[in-house]
Amino acid sequence: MKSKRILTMLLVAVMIITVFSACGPVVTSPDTPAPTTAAKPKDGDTPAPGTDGDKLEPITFTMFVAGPGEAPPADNKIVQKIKEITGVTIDYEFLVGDMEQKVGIMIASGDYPDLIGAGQARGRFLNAGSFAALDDYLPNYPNLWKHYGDYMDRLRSVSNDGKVYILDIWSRQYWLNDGEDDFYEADYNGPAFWIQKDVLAWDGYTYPKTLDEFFDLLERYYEAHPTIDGQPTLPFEVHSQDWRSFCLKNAPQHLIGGRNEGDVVVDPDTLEVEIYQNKWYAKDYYKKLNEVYKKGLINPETFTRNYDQYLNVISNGRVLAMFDQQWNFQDGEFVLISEGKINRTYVPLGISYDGTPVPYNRVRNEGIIGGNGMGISIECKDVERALQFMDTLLEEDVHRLMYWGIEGEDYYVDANGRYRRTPEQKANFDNPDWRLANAGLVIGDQFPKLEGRYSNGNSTGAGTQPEERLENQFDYDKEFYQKYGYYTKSDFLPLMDHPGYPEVWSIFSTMEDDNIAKPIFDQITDLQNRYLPDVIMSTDFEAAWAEYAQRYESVDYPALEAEIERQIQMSLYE
Amino acid sequence: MFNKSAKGNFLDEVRKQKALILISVPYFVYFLIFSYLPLWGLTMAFQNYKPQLSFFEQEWIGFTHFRNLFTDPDFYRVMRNTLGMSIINLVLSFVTAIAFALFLNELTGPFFKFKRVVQTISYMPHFLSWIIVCGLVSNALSMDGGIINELLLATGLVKNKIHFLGEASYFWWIVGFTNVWKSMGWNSIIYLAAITSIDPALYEAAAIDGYGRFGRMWHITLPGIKSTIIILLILNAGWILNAGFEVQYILGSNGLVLDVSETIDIFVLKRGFGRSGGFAFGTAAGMFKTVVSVIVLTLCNKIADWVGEEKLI
Repeated sequence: MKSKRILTMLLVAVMIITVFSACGPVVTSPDTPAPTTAAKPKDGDTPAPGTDGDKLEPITFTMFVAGPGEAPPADNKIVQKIKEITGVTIDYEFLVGDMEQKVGIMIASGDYPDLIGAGQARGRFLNAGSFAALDDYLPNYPNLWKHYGDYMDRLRSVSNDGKVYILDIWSRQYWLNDGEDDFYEADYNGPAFWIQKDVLAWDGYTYPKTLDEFFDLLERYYEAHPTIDGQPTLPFEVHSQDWRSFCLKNAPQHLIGGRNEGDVVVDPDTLEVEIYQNKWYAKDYYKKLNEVYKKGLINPETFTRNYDQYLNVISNGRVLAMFDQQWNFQDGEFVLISEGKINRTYVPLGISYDGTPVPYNRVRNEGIIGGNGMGISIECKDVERALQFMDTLLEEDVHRLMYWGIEGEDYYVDANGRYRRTPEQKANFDNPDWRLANAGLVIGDQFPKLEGRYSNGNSTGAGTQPEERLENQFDYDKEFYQKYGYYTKSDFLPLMDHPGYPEVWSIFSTMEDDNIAKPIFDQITDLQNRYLPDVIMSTDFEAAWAEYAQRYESVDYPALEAEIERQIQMSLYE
Repeated sequence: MFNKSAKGNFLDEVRKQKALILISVPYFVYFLIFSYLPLWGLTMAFQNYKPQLSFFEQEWIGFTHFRNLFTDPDFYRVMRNTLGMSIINLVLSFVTAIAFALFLNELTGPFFKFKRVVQTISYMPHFLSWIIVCGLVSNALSMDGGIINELLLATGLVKNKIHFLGEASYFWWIVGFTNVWKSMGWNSIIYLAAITSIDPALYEAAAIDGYGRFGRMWHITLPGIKSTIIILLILNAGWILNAGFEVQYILGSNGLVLDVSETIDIFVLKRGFGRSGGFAFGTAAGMFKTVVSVIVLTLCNKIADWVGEEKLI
């Protein structure tokens, strides 16, 4: 009897302890300052780059990436190599579902991973003070300093207090200036009217220059090919889910020749800003969409398809064209490539209202923009170790592992010292499943990386090695581009000089929370997402447009325009 | 003297139940931490909340968020949607579950073995997650080879395929019938259980008096489960502001049906987490919903008392 009671109490005690220990992290305040390493020497000592043995004790960093993706399996050979070299394992969490909500929940809970691939959510993270400032750290890491030293001002321009929180991971290019650099530019993957190669080939390799010509071609092709591989053809897709509604809305700015600013158009001379979703060039575009909707070129289901369903119809090869950014639909295109349906992959068209080809977003590279990257969170367990890891990734040998693979297995070096791949090696690399299991791009893509050329003249990425691009181009592509006198799909768009200020959508995403432009921006976003599909599907276009335009007038958008003009003036490059 | 003895009794009682009290401590701690401590976060609704500031640095702004909430035209829209879909769900799920239980109960004799099979099959969807159910629904309703459109076309009921998921006037009913499909079997279990407690002698008596099957259903089975029906109805009415979240979110986030699909839960999520600086506003909206729910639940409980049924709380 007595012993039973003692047993009970013991049990109770154990349970209480369990409950409390389980709640540990909940009870502690999230306001603790950025943790620093206790174990390792502080500043003054120069940290040993990468390969030295003494810093190799294994460590795992958690990382959230505010974009689509899939984590590589742990037995990926490159992931293992990188782990051998750096001792670092990255535990990825890629975005699933709505970005704003996911990020909001993360900020509200204060429960950050060690590293954050901020992407388009950077403004939310910056405003919430989620990142550790890196200004004092960067000069200690030779590769990182070489990478960012000249661009510190642009990195700082992103934050409100002028410190470096986000390391831009794109567009830091290394050129040899030997006159051959232009051949190493990567393929264009930005916004455009993307059209299946087969449609152009069928029409005798034409190049539609206006909206009328474009939709006329789609209509004729659709009549001749009502089904593709047994499934109904979808002539034009208008994707409109959540934040991806740029596919629905962003075309008009390009049709009058603008760059991808997002929701506004900027006058190149006066830098005056104009909201355009209620202007003539937007109206003409939606009117055209309405017209072709009535002809059956736009399937009404395009507005109710979610992103997975959208990728699915693209990978079926039965979507003839869409307005989109290539990175957004490339997962569908990869499937087409791996199934050998090269004629169903896409090229961009520089369609405009007046018929002169316009560049869309093919802008000459201006180096690092400033905010398109990742940061180290205030919760990071070891900031110095994380920077050390990134510094090591910028070593040419390590970088080569990620973007070329292992010599002899994934590529070979020819007699002239050029990196080359056999067709088989290239086919492996083009297969998304193989790539996830055997290549290191997933690591590289999340961190600072070399672009352009290595010091030995080879390209920093397998896909941009010029001789390979020419030789290993699919026969179909080679022939296709030759008909136009082009070299790659990028050549379909003219090249534009950089206008000297960051794209406006990136200004938006780093705006402070209480900026007056924010609620106005939310209002017009809601308005557009809700009414534009109706406008496109309306039986009486003029009436639907009038109703939409009238609602637009109830929003104080001139205040938004004024605020963005001010922000552009502030962020002009010297 | 009275006090002293009462006090003495209390202590005696505590001493006697020492072990019981100790056993209840973990549960007490559990609820304290996971149900009561988070209530502290409701203070956010009265602040101009900024996540990077500590509690003492926050600016207190009184009822501003609530004022903004009640003047927000979207708020009335989501309330309308919530109530609309809630009532459709409530009525549909009650009627179908009760009818299903009644019919299932009539499977006797040679059909008895079907009863089990049918029952099992019917409550299986309950265990599917909403994500899967919504995937099934959107495939079935699709114009691109969806089974419903194909059937309607094949039987000649319609000339052109119907864009079910893009038509605002269908949306509430799609949600309602999706709920029915998913939960009818499961909901009927409790009625089947109630039916088994009805005295079989009553059925025999009714049969002798000349009642047929429907007569017995109407005059014996239904009155026999009346109190179960009323209690469940009242209990469910208390959740009138919970019209659901997943179905509306997954099937209804496109511009064509957004006007009728957003419920108050989605509103709270979108405003609270989907926008910069929305935490406080979202908290206020969520708090409003909780307060209304508590009031409605209390009222329903009172009503249960009045109609002579057992009180729930």
